[in-house]
Amino acid sequence: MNKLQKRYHFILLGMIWFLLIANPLYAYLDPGTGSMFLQLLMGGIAGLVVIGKMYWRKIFSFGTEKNKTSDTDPVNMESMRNLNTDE
Amino acid sequence: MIKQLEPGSFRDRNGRVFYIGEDIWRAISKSALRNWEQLSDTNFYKQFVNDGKLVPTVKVDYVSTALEPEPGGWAGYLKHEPIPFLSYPYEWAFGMLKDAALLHLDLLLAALNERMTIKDSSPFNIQWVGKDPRHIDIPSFESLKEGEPWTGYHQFCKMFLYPLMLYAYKNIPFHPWMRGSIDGISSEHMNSLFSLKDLFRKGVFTNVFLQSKLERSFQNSKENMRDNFRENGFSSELIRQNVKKVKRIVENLESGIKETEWSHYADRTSYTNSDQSVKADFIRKAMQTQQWKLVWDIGSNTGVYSIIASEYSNYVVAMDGDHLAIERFYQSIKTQKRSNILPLVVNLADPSPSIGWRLRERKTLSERGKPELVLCLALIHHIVISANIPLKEFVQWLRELDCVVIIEFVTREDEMVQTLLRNKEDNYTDYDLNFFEKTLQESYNITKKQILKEGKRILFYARPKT
Repeated sequence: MNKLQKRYHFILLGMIWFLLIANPLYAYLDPGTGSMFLQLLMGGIAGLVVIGKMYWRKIFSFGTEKNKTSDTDPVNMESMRNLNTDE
Repeated sequence: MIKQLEPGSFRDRNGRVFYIGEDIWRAISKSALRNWEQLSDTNFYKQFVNDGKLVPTVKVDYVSTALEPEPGGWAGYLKHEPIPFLSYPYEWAFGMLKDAALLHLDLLLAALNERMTIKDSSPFNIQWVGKDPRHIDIPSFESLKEGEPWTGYHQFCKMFLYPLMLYAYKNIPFHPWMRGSIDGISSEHMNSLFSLKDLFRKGVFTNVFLQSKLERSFQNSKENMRDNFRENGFSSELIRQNVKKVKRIVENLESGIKETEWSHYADRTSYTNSDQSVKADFIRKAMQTQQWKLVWDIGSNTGVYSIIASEYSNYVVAMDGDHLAIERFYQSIKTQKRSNILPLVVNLADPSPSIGWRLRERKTLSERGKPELVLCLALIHHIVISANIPLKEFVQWLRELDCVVIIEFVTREDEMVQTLLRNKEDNYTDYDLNFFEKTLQESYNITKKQILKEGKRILFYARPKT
């Protein structure tokens, strides 16, 4: 295993650990976001680059329009749109 | 001409399947029409249709009185070549589900090369023409949008990968689960089945363990992940690599089950060679009088007589409750040229019901096509003695199929029946040759009869009384 691959695996393990916080599962709310994210993890270095970009932007953008959601909205309508993709 | 909506075609708002007589039509929306135009122009569409792996489809003008349109109306109509006999993944052998999965992934890879994708991943979109799988859901092919992930991945896992892993890694047939859960196996449940050592098996850590954990972590997420991906450069190359990875996993899955009760029946059977040829001759002579449109071979085991029947029929559906016997049969016909035998895993004492929304999405057997002839060879003793179904009721059920029957009665003197009765309380007073013949004659005319194995087994050729 070369050095780059080793680094990739290390970062990967770190992220997995970070993500493994169990929450009760409400499948109807989120039919595929986790699986989409998994595709990035599966995607090797290229996937990590995208993850990096995503979270880099998140950290450095102070609430852009797209990520704003209403506090009174119990179900995010944007993630409801994803429901139609599964069947 | 009778026009009828297909009750199982409603989930995709972009189209609606309906029938005019025997023809299969599909009304499609504007966006589905655009996708169709792009699809029919691609090279992979033409190639896969040529190879029989994608349903031949044409765009047509709708001539008679219009189908009741949804708000907005339909933009166009497609016509599809019919499938000889519908079947569902909970009736397929392991090898059939595996080959269907590989076909799906091959189609996806080919589509990705020409800027298209398949929006979902359901085995209900694949049907069979004999031993050959064929994808039938044309509207699931869509234009690939920049930055879009593999939207069908989650469903592929639930409906293809996990059932295959259940069989390959846990030696558990997937049929009851797939029949009971129309959307397949969830990653959470799949993960619960695996122990720590299973995590090292090919594909389990990523596609089962990680997926179930990530599903939980993200379920409260307020992100629109798809837009996020698009903005940050998710490429179709990523999808391609992931699809190839999953394909390698599927290719390596092998049936872990080596033996079931009846999988070696044909080897262990108690016929002599001369008896076997007498039986085969009887069936040939009986069937050669006409070309049969559809034949059911129920209790087909490894399909020896289905193959004989297929010489005189347009299509034979071989059914047996033993999944490994059907797997062996499927593997044996895969390499042959003939494509008019469909092997299915069906327990005749508990056949596939109508299920889904309003119990009409998936059809029960007789709704998919009534047979003209039924082969019921060396089955009745299992039905009456093992499954405890009264002999008269079984004959009534046969009569309801309203077709010619070639049925074999296995007497109590036969070793197989004695084996079945061993350690059982013998209350089967109806299991008697004379009673059977009398019952058969109530609703059938017995035109041919053949005694085998020194009287231990008798073949009947029976035509239903009108």
